[in-house]
Amino acid sequence: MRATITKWALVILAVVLFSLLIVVPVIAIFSNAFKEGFDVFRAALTMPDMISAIQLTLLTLAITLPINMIFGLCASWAIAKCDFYGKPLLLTLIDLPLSVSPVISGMVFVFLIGPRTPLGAWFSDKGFPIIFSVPGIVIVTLFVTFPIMARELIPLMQAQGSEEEEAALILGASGWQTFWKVTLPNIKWGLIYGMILAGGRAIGEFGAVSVVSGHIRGKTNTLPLEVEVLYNDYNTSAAFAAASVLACISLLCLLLKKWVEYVSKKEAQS
Amino acid sequence: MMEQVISNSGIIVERVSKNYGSFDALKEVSLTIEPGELVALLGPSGSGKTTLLRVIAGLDSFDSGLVSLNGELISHQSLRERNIGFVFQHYALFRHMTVFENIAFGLRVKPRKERPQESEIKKTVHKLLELIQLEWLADRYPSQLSGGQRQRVALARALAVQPKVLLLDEPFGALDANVRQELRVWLREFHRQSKVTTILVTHDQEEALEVANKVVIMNKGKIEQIGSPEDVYHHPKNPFVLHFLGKVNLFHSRMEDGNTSPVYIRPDQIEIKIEAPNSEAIKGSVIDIQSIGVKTKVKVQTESNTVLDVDMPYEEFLAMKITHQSTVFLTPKKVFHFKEKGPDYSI
Repeated sequence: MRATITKWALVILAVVLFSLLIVVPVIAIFSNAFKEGFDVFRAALTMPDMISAIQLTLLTLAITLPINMIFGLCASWAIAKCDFYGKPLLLTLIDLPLSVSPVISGMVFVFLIGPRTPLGAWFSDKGFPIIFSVPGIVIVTLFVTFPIMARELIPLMQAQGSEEEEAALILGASGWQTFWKVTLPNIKWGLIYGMILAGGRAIGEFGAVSVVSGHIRGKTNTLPLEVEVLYNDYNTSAAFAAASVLACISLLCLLLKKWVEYVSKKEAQS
Repeated sequence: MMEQVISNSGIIVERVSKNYGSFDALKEVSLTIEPGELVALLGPSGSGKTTLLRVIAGLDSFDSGLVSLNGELISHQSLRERNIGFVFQHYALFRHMTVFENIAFGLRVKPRKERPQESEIKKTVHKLLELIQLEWLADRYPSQLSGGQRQRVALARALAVQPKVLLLDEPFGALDANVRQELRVWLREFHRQSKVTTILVTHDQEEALEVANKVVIMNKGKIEQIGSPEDVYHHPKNPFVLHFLGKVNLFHSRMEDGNTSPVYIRPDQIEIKIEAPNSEAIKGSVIDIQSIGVKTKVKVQTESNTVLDVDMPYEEFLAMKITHQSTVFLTPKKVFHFKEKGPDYSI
């Protein structure tokens, strides 16, 4: 009897907290976005600055995701399947972006390749500025999303060991054949899962991007930055319209994630 | 020495050493395996037997010495050229492929020029499935198979590329007793027909003696003895081999020069009688009796307080009416004692 009371108390507590912290804000985003009617919402989303922000966000995603995938694969492969001196150090370094505040990550890059540094100045002279420009946004986004893929793949690869790869090599497969036919299919779902998580983070990243973007509307403002600018301009409906786009992407990521979990679980069982 | 190595078409291991940091996994190991032999590498865990197998396969590197396979040094061959069938202890089947695709893998990854036609691949795989008697499981995934079935699929996959050498790493270690027995018989029969040079790593002395026609006993990175199963069991070179191949009784006998020296007797090499057969027999009393199937194990405490294990057939045990505390007389039939080097027997 006592156990059931405790159980229900915990369940109710969890539901209340979940509603207060997540459901209510999500509803608030959408109700604010549509407060002044659908036309205002559509007008807000078709403003040139907004379209540019959405495009920039998608461009960042399109560049960071494949690079992330390749780097994540290489790093996880090296850590899970090879033994080398300094492996613990590499593991720690991979985790670094997760433990550093995103704003600090952005600052580091400003100090490193900002316009006042020799390297940054050289790039600016060549007409290819990095900081306060799109390349900077891509670089910091890469930096903050990099650990996600590796974190997803390393435990998976470690658990699987390298016996299957050894078996493939002994059976006469080349290195590429082994990778495409054995390694990749085994980590396929982990890879997709990691990409969804990294993608969600890449789209929503605010702190680090904010430091390096320069906030040039229509040029270097990503969607989360655009939300801030609109909100500070007291343009609440437009700010919430942009926020609702982000929320939709997040929900989509969540759905995709659930679907991947479901499919991979089903595949593992069969 | 080089020419000699090249001219032989079996497996030759010459003074191979390998260490992991300060741990010597192999210490100057030399071993020759003739084509068509079925050899068991036997030893306790950590004795270097799996390392030796992986070195021969080319999966592990070694620090010094040389290994030749089919008349060629393995350092000159790629894994593909070595043409080895390897069966892993935990099967290492490709988990995302069906049984059929697992077995076909070695054929499918061949370079385009050597790759057989699809119809040929199908034929080969079905022949192998027939050989391992699992035709009805062709479309299943490894996770849907039992341990014994997985091990047979792993064997078929290794055999698909028609290896010149078959290497098995504790292949039956993770299986239950009945399946293990069945697969041992299968392996022996398969080897009798195919004559593929086979090396089997095991820590189970019974398995080694039963399956192989040559047994290599290893300990601490070194080979202790190489010989036929009869040879190593009946003529062990040193106390380690003797101990490893079955239980032995140890006692210290006084020599003519006044020193004591260790003497070993196998439990089944002691004759047990109710009445003293002669004045030489050792008198003792029974302190424990254990009947296991056709064998009965009797523990006897001698007058000098040594406890000896005696194995006898159950029928004989019944006929003698031995009970707890019975007084019995023991006569060793075969005694081992080892001088510094080489065996010495007295009966």
